[in-house]
Amino acid sequence: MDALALLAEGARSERNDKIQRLLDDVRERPMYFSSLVVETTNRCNARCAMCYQASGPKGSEMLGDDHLNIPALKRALAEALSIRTLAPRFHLAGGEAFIYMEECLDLIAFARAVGYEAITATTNAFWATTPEKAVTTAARMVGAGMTSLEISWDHWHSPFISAFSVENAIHGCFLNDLPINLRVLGTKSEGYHSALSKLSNKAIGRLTQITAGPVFPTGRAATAIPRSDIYVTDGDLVGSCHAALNLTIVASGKVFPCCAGLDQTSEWSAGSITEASIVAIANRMMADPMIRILVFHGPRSLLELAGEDTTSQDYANICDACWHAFNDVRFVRGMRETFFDFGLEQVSNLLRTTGSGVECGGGGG
Amino acid sequence: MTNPLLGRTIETTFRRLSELSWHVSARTDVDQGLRWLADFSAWFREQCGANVGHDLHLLYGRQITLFLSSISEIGAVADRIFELGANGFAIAIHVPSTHFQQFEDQLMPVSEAFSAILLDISSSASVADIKRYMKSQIVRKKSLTIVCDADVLLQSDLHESFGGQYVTFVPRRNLTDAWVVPDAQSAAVRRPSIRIDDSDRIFWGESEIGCLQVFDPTAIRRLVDDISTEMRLALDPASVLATPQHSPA
Repeated sequence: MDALALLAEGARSERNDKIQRLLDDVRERPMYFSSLVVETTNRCNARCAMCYQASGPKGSEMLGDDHLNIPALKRALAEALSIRTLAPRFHLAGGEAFIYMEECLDLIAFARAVGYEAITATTNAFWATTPEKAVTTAARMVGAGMTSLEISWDHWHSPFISAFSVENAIHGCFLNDLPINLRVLGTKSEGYHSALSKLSNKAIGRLTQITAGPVFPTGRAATAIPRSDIYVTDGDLVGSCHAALNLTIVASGKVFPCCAGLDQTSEWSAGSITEASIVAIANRMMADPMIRILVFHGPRSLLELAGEDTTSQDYANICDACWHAFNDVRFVRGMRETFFDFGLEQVSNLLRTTGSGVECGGGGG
Repeated sequence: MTNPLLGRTIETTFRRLSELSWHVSARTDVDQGLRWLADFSAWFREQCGANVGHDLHLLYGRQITLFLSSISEIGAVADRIFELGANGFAIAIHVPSTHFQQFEDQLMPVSEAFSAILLDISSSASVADIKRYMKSQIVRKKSLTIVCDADVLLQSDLHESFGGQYVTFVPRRNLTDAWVVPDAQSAAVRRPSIRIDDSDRIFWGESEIGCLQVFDPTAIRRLVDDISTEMRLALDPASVLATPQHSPA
């Protein structure tokens, strides 16, 4: 073996040792999912600049125009309840799922019937065009089994959705005892106040809560909103996301461990509910060494394994870093090779310790 | 994976909980209340098998909020608060806007024990003081929930202090619903919530300094029922369907 080959072998061995140490640190940690998030469509009646899904009337500008196969989804909804680390909460999202109102009500009723205890959804409230429609629609949601509703409302929604509709939806939900969480996003130049000030005191007072958070520089926002206007909240990437996971099925049927960016990438997925049981997909994902390192140690660990200098990058937070990394074909291919090589070494070590004498070569797949 | 509850009788579960619960009298001090929670946590870990590596997901998302009318005794129970934090409890503290400075001074030595702040803003509070306090907590990466009336929220420019962090507002009328399970919509339906009072809430008394006040002694019985049912549903749904409900003696 020449000097270069020896160096490469040393680096490979060191990298595999590091992966093993990272995995050992979290060996006993369960991957807990707060809910099953289902994005039935990536179409939306709006086309907001901050949308992390880049949704619009023709679907996602990043991932295309998809709609979930409903029989496959219902099968997955029923099966998912047997995943022990999934809380029995079903969250319906899009795009704007409620442009297919009857389908949504059917899914909510189905989720209730099979045993989900909390049933929630996100909407932009476009359907609440009159006070009467808002009350009637909210009553149908409650009747189907919905337990609370999240309404997206901020500066970037206002060109597409009227404040009047949002106000109607709040009153309609309130009159039907449906708790409402108003979700408001902001940047340095566009805070929360401009959106909130379009609503009346009465409507604000009827909300269950308001959750204010920063726009992420992902999806359409990556190009439509200046980077300098985005808040940097975890630029050194010290965090991880294991306490904020949601088992997520996107409109194409693919399954992801979150709905905060990784679900909007195209280069990796754990599998699709149109091809396999969600239980099998979730089990495979929870055992996947790359995903375990990603969720328990954060994307910084994977980027470092890939040899990237994270200090030289301009990430706003871990979701931003994750989204950019998993949209990068070279990064994902490199990770596949790295973890394939790690797996080969594991098998080789196992065979060696069991005395089979079989030698496995290194190198990526 | 072996279900650690299989083969155990429901009566055994109730008896052990009753022993723990017995120490909580109609009115007790913060130290005693926190000790009860620590005992409960140890019991729960043993029952669900967490001590031997089973069902660790049941330890996620256990949240309690301390409501105090005075912060002066917090130092005396700091060790117990840290112990609960080490056992996986997320601990929030209610901070009234009328006493920012007092809370700030007293909380500083134990601030690491708290992951969240429930900031209660009255209409008479100084916006400048509120913003200064919020900034100081955001710098420390504390999760912030703000309780205020709608007009206070709309008339102030509090949002300018967020710095891009997630902040939750709760209209004052929702206070009791929101802080007990601050993340109710995404929370742990399958995991036990700890609730003690006539509205099924654990309540840190406001009428006496630093006292845990249990308004309804019979609430302990409901607590026992709730926790046992939730645990058995989570770990072994069939046993709940097959076995009649019991109450502790």
